[in-house]
Amino acid sequence: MSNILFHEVGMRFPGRTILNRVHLPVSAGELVTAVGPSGCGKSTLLNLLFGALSPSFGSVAIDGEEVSGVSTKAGIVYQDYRLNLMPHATVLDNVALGYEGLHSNLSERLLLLPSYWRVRREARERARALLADVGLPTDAEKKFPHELSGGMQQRVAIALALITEPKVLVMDEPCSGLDETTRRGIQDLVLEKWDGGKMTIFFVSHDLREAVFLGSRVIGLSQHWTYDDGASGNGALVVVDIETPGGRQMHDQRYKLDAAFLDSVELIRRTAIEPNGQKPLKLSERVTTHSDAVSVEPRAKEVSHE
Amino acid sequence: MQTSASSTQRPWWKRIRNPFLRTDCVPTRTIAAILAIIPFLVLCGTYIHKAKQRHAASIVENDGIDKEKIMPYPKQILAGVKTIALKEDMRLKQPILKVDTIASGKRLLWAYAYGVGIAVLLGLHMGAFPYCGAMFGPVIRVLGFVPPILISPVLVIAFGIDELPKIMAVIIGFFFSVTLATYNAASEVPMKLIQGKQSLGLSQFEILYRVILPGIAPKVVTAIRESLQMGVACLMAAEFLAASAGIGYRVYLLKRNMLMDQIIPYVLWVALLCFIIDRLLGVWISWRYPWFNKK
Repeated sequence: MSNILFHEVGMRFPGRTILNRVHLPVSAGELVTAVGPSGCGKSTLLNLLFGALSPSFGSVAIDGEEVSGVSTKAGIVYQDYRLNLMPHATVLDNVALGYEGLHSNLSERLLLLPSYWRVRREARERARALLADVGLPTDAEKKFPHELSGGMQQRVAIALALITEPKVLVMDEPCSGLDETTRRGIQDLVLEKWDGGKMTIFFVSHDLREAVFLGSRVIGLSQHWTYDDGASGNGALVVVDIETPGGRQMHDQRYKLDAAFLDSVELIRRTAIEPNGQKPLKLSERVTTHSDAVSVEPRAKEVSHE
Repeated sequence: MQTSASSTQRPWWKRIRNPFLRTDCVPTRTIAAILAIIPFLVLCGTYIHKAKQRHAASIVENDGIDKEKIMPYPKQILAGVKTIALKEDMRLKQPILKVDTIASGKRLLWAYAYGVGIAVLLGLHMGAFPYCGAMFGPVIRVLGFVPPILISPVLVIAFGIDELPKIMAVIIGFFFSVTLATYNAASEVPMKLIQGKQSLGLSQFEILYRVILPGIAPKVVTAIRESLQMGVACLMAAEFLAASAGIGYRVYLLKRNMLMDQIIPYVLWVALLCFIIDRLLGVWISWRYPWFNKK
């Protein structure tokens, strides 16, 4: 059974279709990176998985259970730390809050019952361990988020997302806006946590090279496509779905001249990012090299052409 | 050749030639203090000059007798300070300044104690729950445009001359602005932050009181700080209309006898107290919320 299943998912906003019948099964332990041009629906896909949005049609499921509303099965890391961390709480309190939320109920917390204090103690111990695990110095735990650098903030955000031991880690361009060294550190941390398939990670990136290097599977979304009969459709589709060697450190010199890597980058660039130069991609040209990938080709008659 | 920063730094009198939006033209603390004092000195100088003119004119008009009461000399004002600080209230046998300050202070304190909690809770729920915002937002905005000082007579008519109308007048003075400030602050909390906390299993109640409220607290305190001016104005207006003690009441009594030498100290006393409260709230914000306005 797939760990994540986007089943014929479509997303429409007033006057605009973002996603069009995306069917995407993701197996447990995959590190899926999603790339595509700006506005193609990468973040929408992520928000659907996280439960922040509900699909206009189709469904999204994690572990066979349909996602409706914000899911506690998924941990989220955003690009901006202000969306991950509470500015008024220290780093330790930020991370510990996640554990408290899932391991004690509201009445325990409101009435400050002994069981709550036990959970609180556990939460703080666990948060400390996790913060050390993501490479944060011990003196950082008492600091406020604004006192940390961008890279440190992202490490705290990852620790916060991991403290509840989610089934899926969802990351929305967590390396954007970081300098090269810090970005490398965060990428290494993501790979360390993934550890060859210990958890499922859905990673959205605008950086093609990063996506191909990190992902064990790369999906490219594009709104530039037509049906074989010449009619064009609305809403992005997964037009590239390829397996990559994946999970490699981006800056590992051994892969610098890896032909497979360069091919992958070129393939995605050609099909998703810059489809056929000026000409939109025809669905029959859609690239699917992933062995488990289910065909995502929509049946032209069932899709309304707007 | 490399030049040091200090050698390239021009003296301040050269820098202020073109001071518009210049980052290298920010006054030092000493210069800022001197600049701040200048308007006060100008005000005092103008007052004294005008007072002298009026007193001179009064002497000419009244055959050598100085009957000028509207603009007393500073020494007369100092005598007025002594009077209000030492003259005892007939009922309480305590200096009238103390009696009035305590009476007004109590009203202000009670009004904020009652009103702020309700305003913050209402604003918080309006911001967090869009249906609540849609229901109360328009009415709060419309009522916020009603000049609160105009409502004071209505309150006196409705609630009599007891403490309630005066407290209500203050509440009306600050309630709408604090509610709207809280509403706006709560609405601005990023939805993604809230969804992130939902994914951690936190309930709506906890998100409201552990995530949103502490996050917007400095903005709420700032709104309270800014509302103080209107709150005090409404209190004075209500005390003018119906009270048996309080700074507004006293100024009203003194006005009837044209005792400007005592009214001016009262006015300055109110300004000083408000300034102190404002500074204390400012210090509280920087001490309690060091993360506020930090990127």
